Amino acid sequence: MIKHVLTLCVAIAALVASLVAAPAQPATIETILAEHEAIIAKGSRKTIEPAIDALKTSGLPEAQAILEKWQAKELWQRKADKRFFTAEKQEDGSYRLFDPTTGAEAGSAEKKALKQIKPNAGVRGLIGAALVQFQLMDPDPERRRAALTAIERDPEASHLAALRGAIDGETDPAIKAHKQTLERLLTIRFGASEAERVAAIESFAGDLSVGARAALNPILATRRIASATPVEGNIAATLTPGSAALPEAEAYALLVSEGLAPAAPTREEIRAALAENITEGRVAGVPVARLDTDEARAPTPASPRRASCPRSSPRPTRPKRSQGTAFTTSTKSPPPPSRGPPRKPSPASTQGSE
Amino acid sequence: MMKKLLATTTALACLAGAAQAECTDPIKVGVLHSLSGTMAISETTLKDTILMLVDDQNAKGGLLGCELEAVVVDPASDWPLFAEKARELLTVHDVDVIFGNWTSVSRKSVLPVIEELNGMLFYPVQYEGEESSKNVFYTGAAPNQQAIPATDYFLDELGVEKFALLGTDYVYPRTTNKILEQYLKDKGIPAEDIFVNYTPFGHSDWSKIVADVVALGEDGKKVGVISTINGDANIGFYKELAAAGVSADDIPVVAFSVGEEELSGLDTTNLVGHLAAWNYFQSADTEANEAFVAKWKARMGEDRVTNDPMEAHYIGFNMWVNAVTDAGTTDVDAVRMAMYGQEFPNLTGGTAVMLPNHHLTKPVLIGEIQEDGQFDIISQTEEVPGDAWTDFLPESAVLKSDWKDLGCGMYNTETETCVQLKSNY
Repeated sequence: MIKHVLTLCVAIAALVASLVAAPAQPATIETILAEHEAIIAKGSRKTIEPAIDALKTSGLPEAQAILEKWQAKELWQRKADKRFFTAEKQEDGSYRLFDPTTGAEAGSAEKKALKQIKPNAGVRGLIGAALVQFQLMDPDPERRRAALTAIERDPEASHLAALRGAIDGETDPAIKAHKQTLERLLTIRFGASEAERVAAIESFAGDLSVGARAALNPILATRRIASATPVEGNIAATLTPGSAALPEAEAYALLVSEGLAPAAPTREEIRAALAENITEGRVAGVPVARLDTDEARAPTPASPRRASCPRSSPRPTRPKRSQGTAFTTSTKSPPPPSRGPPRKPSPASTQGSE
Repeated sequence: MMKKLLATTTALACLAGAAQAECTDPIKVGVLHSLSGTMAISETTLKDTILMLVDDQNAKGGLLGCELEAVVVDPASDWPLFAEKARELLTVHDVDVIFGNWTSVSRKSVLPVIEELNGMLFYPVQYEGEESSKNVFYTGAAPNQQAIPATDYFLDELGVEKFALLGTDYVYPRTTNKILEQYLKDKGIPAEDIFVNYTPFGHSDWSKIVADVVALGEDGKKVGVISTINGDANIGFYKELAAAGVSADDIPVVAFSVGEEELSGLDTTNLVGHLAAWNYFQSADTEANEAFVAKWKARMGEDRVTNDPMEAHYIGFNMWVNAVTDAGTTDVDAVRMAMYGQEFPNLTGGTAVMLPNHHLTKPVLIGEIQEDGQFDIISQTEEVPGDAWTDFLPESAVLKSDWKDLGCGMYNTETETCVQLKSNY
C-alpha cells in the first residue's frame, strides 16, 4: 500500500510535468473502462490503442495503478455486467472481488462468472509504453529501468520530452547514462530540427551496438516512388525509365502500383480480348492465323499516340481492343515522364515523414 | 486375411455376449513410440498415455467384451527401424491398431508398411500436412490449425516484421517452413526479411545461430522466431536464448514442438513469455481436463505434466474405441468407415469431430511460458477443421482429401481425378 501511495504522488507529479493539457472532464477510471470494455476484453494489439490512450491522457491519479494491474493480468471482468475488478482466489475456489481503483471489497463470484483479462505481449508492450511517463522518475530504480526498456521496445514521439525531463534529476549514474543514450536514439527519430537530428546521428559514430544500428539503418533505407507531382522530402536519386537502374518493365510496374497507370494486360487477357473480337476469322483486320504467338498478339508499338507521351508508359503492352475509345483515355492518363524518384532520405526527411 | 477373419469371429462371439474370459484373443493395441534416442524426451510420455488409456478401458470392461492388450515396441528414434517395427507389430503381433510416431520422417517411413498390410495408425502430433493416407488418422494439428494461426498472431498481435524460421533438418520443418514462407510473402513480408535455418537432430551448439537472430534486429525491425526445432535440441536452443539474454519481449519465439513435457527438464525462469502454439495446454481450465491431469499424476507421479499429443492420443483412442463398438469389429476397413463423424469432447472444451479427410476439428491455443513451466493460455479459437492439403501452396490448393465419399486422399478438384491412392512420398 505504501508503495502505491508513493507511486501515486509521483504519478501526479509526472502528470503535471508531462501531460498535454488534459481536458477537465468528469471521466473516472470506471467510466473509461466501461466505455472501452469490449476492446479491453478482446485484448488485441490492433484495436486496443483507444483504451490505453484514454487512460494515459485521463489525468486521473489512479491511471498508472490501473495500467499496471492491467499489464500484470490482474484485472478480471464479471461476465454479467461487464465490470472490471481485481480478484483474489478463496479457499472454496470462488473469487473475492475488489474495486480496481479504491481497493474496496465488492462481493465475490464463482470462477465461471468471471473472465481474467490477459493482455498478450503486444498489448502489454503498448501499456508499458504508456506507463513510461509515470515511471521515468519513479523512486524505485527497477521501475526506472523497466521504463527505459519499455521505451526501447515501443518508442514513440512523446517519450522524448518525458525522457529529457527525467535526465537531470537522475541520481543513479548507470541509469542516467542509459537515459542519455536513449535520448540520443530517440532524437534521431523524433527530434524537432534537422540540426538536432544530425547531431544525434553523429554522436553514434563508431557505435556498433545493435540498438544504435537499429536506429541508424532505417534512416538509410530508401524506397522508390513514382509521382505525377513534384516530390517533397529527401530525394536520393532520380531515375529514368529504361536505364540500367530502372528497366522499363519495373518502371511501369511502379506506375501501376502507385495507381498512375493501368495494369498491363496479361498474356491471357490479351488472348481473351482478341478472341472476343474475332469477326469472320479476323481481329481488326488481322487474320487469326497470324496471331499465333505472344509476340504477334502483343500490342504494336506503332501507335501514333505514343508520340505525345514518349517513354511515359515504358511497357509497350497496352490494353488492345478493337474499339479505340477506352484505349484513348488510358493513353492520356499516364502522368508526365515518370521518374521513379527513389526516396533516399537523409536524416531530415525521415524525421519529417515518420 | 486370417487375422481379420479371426478378429471378426471374435467380435461376433463377443457381441453374442461371451464373457471376457472366453475371448479367444485379446484385442491388441500396438504402441510405436521411441523410448530411446533423441525423440525419447517427447515420445516416452505418449507410450505411457496409451498404457493408461488401455488400462482405463479394461477397467471399464474392455472392448466388445474382450480385454485390450498393449504391445509396446521401441523404434529408438531410428527412422528405418520404425518401418521394421510397424511390420513386426502387424505381422508378428497381429495388432488391431497402432498408436505411434512423433516425427514426420518416422511417419513417412511407416506409411508404405501400413498401407501394404492395411493397418490403422493414429498419429498424435501436429505436422506439416501435404499427406493423406487411407490408413492413418491424424489426430494432431494440420498447418492451418497451428502454424498459420501462430504466424498470424506474430504478425497482428506482436507486430513482428522480420522472421527467423528455425527448424530441425527433416520433412516436417522443411514443409512447414515452405508453407510459412509463401504465406508470409503473400502477407507482404519481403523475402530478405525471412531467415531460414536448419540444424540436425540433437544439435547442441546454438550460440552462432542465436547471435545471428539477434543481429537481424539491426535494421530496426521487430524480429520473431518461429521454431520447428524437435527433440532434445530444444534444450540447448532455449538455454542459449536465456544465456544471450534474449527476452520474449525483444525477440519472441513461438514453438510448434515444445510443450509441457519438453520444458519440464528446463529452468524456465528465463523463458517466461516465449510462446507455443498447440491445441491443448495442461493449464486449460475445464472439468474434463482437471480429471485427466489428476488421473495422469496419480498414475505417473505428482511432478509429471500433460501435453498436446497426449490429448490427441486421448481423443484418438476414445474415438477408436467408439468406432470399434459401433462397427462391432476391429476390422480395419469397418472401423475406418465408423470413424468418420465420430465426436468426442476436447479436454479444452468443445468437441472434436473426425472428418472424412482423417483430420480432426480443433481449437487453436496460444500460450505464454510461465515460470513454473506451464503455459498461460492467452488466445483460444473455436474449433477449426484440419486441412490435409494447404491452401497456401498453389500446387496443393486444388487438392482435397475425402476417404469417405470420394475414397481418395489426393483428389484434384480441377481435373476431378484421384491423383493417387497409396502414398509414394
